[in-house]
Amino acid sequence: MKRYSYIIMLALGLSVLSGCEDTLDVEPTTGVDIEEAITDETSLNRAALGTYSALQNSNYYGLRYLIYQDVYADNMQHRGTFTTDVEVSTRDIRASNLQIANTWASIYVAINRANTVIRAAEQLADLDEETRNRYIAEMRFIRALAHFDLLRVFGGVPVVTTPTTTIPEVQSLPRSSEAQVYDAVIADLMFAAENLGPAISNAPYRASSAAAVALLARVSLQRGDNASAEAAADAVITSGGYEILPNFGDLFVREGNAESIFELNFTTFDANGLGSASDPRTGGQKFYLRQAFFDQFKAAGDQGDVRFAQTTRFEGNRNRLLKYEDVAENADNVPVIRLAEMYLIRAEARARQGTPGAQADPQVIADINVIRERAGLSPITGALTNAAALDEILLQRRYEFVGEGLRFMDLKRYNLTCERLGFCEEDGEAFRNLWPIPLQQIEVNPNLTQNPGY
Amino acid sequence: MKRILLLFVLCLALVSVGWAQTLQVSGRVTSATDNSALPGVTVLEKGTTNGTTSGSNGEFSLTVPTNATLVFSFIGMTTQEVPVNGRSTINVTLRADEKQLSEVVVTGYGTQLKQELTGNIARVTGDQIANIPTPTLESTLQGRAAGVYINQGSGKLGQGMNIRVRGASSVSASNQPLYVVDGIPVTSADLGTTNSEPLNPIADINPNDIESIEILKDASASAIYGSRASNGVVLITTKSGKAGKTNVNFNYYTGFSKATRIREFLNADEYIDLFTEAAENMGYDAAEEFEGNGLDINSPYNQKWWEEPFETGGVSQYEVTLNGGTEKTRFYINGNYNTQDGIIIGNEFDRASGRFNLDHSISDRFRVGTNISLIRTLNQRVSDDNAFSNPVQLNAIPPIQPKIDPATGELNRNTLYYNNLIDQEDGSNEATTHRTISTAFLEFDILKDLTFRTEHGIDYLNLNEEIYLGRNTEDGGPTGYGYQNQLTSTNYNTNNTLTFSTLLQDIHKLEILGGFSYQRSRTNAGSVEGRGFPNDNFKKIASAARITSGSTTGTGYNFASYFARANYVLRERYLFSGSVRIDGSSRFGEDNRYGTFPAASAGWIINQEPFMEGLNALSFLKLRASYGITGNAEIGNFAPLSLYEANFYEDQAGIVLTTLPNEDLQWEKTTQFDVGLDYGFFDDRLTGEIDYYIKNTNDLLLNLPIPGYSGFTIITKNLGKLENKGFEFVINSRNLVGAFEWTTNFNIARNRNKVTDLNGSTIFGGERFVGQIREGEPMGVFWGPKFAGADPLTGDALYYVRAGSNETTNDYSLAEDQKIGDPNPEFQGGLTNNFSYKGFDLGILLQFVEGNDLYNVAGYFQSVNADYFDNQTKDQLDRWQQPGDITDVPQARLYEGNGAGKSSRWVQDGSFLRINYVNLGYNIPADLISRFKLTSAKIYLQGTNLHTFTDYEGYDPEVNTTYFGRSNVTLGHDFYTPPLAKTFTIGINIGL
Repeated sequence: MKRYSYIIMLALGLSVLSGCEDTLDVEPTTGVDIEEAITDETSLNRAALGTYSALQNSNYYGLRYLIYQDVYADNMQHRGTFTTDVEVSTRDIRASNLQIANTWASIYVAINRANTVIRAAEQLADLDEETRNRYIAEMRFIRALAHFDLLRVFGGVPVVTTPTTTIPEVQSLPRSSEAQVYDAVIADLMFAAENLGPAISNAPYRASSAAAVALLARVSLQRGDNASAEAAADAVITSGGYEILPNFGDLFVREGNAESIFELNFTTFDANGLGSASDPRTGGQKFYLRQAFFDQFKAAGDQGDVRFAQTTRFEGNRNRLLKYEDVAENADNVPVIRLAEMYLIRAEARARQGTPGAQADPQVIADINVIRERAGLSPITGALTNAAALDEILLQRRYEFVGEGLRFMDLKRYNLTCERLGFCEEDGEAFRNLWPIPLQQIEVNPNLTQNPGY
Repeated sequence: MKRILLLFVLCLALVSVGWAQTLQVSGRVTSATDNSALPGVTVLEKGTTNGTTSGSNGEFSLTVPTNATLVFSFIGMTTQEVPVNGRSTINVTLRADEKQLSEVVVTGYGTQLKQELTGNIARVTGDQIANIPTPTLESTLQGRAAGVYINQGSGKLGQGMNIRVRGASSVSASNQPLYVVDGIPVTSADLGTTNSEPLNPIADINPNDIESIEILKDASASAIYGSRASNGVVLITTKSGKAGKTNVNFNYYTGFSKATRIREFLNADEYIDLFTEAAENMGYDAAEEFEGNGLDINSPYNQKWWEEPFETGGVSQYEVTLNGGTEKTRFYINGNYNTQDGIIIGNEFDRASGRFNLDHSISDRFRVGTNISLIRTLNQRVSDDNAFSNPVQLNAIPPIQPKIDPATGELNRNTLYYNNLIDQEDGSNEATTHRTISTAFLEFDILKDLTFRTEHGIDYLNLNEEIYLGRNTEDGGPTGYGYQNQLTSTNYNTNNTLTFSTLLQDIHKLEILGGFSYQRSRTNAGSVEGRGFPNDNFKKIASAARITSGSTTGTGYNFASYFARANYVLRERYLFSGSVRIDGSSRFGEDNRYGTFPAASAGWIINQEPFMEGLNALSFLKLRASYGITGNAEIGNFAPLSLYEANFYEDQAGIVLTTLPNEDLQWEKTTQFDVGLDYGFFDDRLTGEIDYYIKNTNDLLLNLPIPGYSGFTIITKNLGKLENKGFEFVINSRNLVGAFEWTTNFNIARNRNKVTDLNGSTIFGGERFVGQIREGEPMGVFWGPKFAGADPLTGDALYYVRAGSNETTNDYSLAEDQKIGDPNPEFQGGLTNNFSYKGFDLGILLQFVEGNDLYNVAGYFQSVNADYFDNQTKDQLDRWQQPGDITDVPQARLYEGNGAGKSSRWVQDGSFLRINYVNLGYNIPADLISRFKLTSAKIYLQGTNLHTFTDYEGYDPEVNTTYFGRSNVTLGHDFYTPPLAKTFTIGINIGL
């Protein structure tokens, strides 16, 4: 009896001991290991969707990057208590501003995701060449958008074209020059334009060939390559794929409308904070139209500009922006590029190619009138000099695109940041035309240099 | 023959003389603490085997010689010798054995005599913490265990709190100790999903069920728990049955609670004055600016919004315990219901628990037992500190806005900030836990000296979180919002040990333990969220028009561990101990599956040496030292893997890479050296411990910042070092013995924490936080511009240009960041005094924390000289007004941010001394209660946190906001964090 009990004990102990070796492996249930993640076109497509998702981040097009383009300029202002937002609104950004750091990081997340998908597409065996190139082109579009978005606020930033999926792949890159970033962006867009198909009708939520050309127009104009900008804008306009909506008010109500060339699709599952960001009835950090701009816009509205009433409203003692107002679901879409911009780019690019004092080309006037007439304004009938046309274009862009992320870039292109924003050489303030490189990024990478002045 | 006869007669005579000299002695044995009868006491004629045990009423009867001496002994009581001296009735009162050094202490997988310990273990007994009105047992340890720093963080009930055993030993991984209940590591980390602030699973344990709590502090004591021991180990042992009469006890207490302090803000007149001044200073028309923010400068109201978040709380506990059994079978049964209404509106915590502990001896060699508990807790939660729905944030609403809208008679919805009283009416946030922590064991003596024990335990926890926010609430509008999360955590554990213990040649005492344990933990959860409810009466998601999100998740980990320990005592004075544990875990990378954690220690009981003889004052002196390695495995369940996770676009699930893999990832390693001295004087009337330790943590699990253009901002690596050094000093004194008893326990601990290596990087807290983790500085050091008050000439906020210089500037961006505080206390400890006289007893615990700084993050809004329309703290009335004013409050300038930047302006000394606990009790005399057939009855009055002495001007100096989770970079930060409660209770214990 005694002997048996020893054996039982021993067996019990041993079985417990031996049974556990294998069970040290626990499989994650909400994540998939990298090797199993992208195996075919379906999963490649999933990974591509994940890259778009990076654009939706609240630090990027989901709210702050987008809205800061107006807040850092003269269209909008912040009301609230977040010092990060206050610094942007008062145009006094510290290098330690964590929101700027988050925005920097979030934009690069989009770039890395794009690069990761590009490599996966290149390596996937079972894929025909056209499909492979289409995915690569789509990702290069996103990569171009992200690099350009960095460029216009930070200046020459590191251009990243290889993915980081392991620790050894983390690089210590220096900054590229502005020209190098432009070159990389344009190369990506050219590839995208060639290899992407047309947009799916009424669903401009993914990159298309036209979107790449349209973005190329914007990039070229900002770079000062007016001929290319004009050609690209013209190509989009004449492609016939898009039309100016007759009613300005429909633009932000009808998602994926015929004017939209590239638009981020937000739903209740990936909501953004744009709607409540300007709703004075809810708590939190708020972004409203600056009073001076509101007054000016209101005067234009009184003259018949329908955009005023569709864009803003004085509500709860605040100048609320109405372009995003889905407070219930926070699922407002964000139009990244729409056809109206192409008309104004074509006009601006052509006017810039003429001499300022000379008469503007009738096409310039015609393009401006497309925007004016839709806004309920009378068309310009008389002649304008190129300089006057450019002023008119800037004014129309301001009314047309407030809250759509273009204002700061426009003021820089027109060299008006000294006059309008106080970034003047003589005051030693011109350095504020660029945001500071986030301090933490410089601390972890000595190769990164700070923008002068910060 | 005659001689024989004579001899016989003589013998008879002698015998009869012997008979004449014996007698029947009877009497009763009672306990000195409560006069209750003591059954099962061994009563022995000294020097013989003649004896008996006392019966269920404490009575005994024994025949002994008239000149015999009786020896009364009972476990846990001081043995007493009583000469008979011819008496036939002898009543004896036994005292609890207060010779602390002869205590038995629970160690990992065993027990040990305290005097033979070579490690450092702090012990708190169940008696010390019973019936203290707190939802969770950790808070009762405050001031009682040297070197164990407990910060409750806030007055929210059932909330996780910060516990540091000998300082923080990790930067990024958890700093909370491992909790082991009856041998089983239990779930102690927050599992909640609704708030970013942690729920506390330890609050599920009924403190009254606890026999003792042992806190394993040094490596010698804790290394047996290997990779999870770096933060200390808390061993909780629940009560077990005692053979003898069945004791039935009823306990009841009830009471009320109030906030320890409510901060005051400006009244309406002061508010209007200050903000008018602020507007006019900037050239605005004050009335217009008021109006622009929805405020009426002529408002007739004076609403004390800062009082609205608080109410008088209540607490009640009902409990029945049964305890008894036979020599073979013993049981402990407890039923407990505890209900608390918090001092913060809407906060409530209820716990109903049952426990059944049984052990049974099958034979001399087989023993089995089981500890079973069933618990239900309900926590009506308060919003995160950072939520507009946090009631304390009501203090930001201007006093000129009324609570009730006069137009509607309803709660005012047009306040500057959300009037979250609406949440109280139309919203709820409940977390309900059903849980069992149950174990069963079988013990078998294979040989006389060799015992096999196998124990199996399960900690099954089901958490149901449910939120409903009505259509009028800020977050629930306009159609109502519902959320439900069901979470199940199953934590299975088995320990199998062989223990060999023997005494060889009377001088070699040896105990060897070898064992194996395996733990499997799984957590699965499913949540669903909906909007669009028909009206606020429909609160279940079934009625939601739209399911706005739904998700299920699962995670888990396994541990497989082998351990061994040997304790050797030579000649009752030379002590040696060594242990090793090998831990394997699914959390570690493939290449580092197993870690080894050894420890060794030695002790020398000096007073046992012959050369110490004659030193009568010194009753005990032991020198001990230990060294060992422990780990911290709280690094995340899948940290080594590179994972794709789902991310949505266009309502389709995209996949994205979320983490960079690091196959080399492993536990953090802490080596700890401890040297200590245990002493006892005057027959142990004065005892205590002195310890000094150095704790070095290497291979810190660091979230290391990397260049953001890689698409990631951090990677997790084992890199970096930190150290904790400190001493602990404990003194226990029985100042007076006899009818009037007075005992004092005092402990004080100092810990110095320093981060020694972070690979050159700095970890930042966040935009508004001043906490950072920096090389060469203590954890969470406050770092930022240093505020220099208001410029007497201009009223501008001034800052010091750089550290060590008196040069000031009014240009905030020129002020260099510097050290502006340290959230870690320099000293902390407690002083307990217990008095007893006749039936009365009085206990007072003073707790102190000294030398830590606090940062009031809410200062940005509430103490910022009327920068925006938030109501301001009273001290802002001292603002600069005219040239020559010397003040720390700059000129009031609306919207201008004069002094509004992050700075030392809101750093304050957080030292405090607190009357943590007072208990006055009275044992009703036995002759009074015996009429009611009671064996004991006690009534008592209790108070907790009765008074706090501090210079901190905020609500409560014991504060630690956790709205960013439990992070080291937000240590000592206060952000609209509710204060603790002071509680008064009256209670009664009745024994049948």
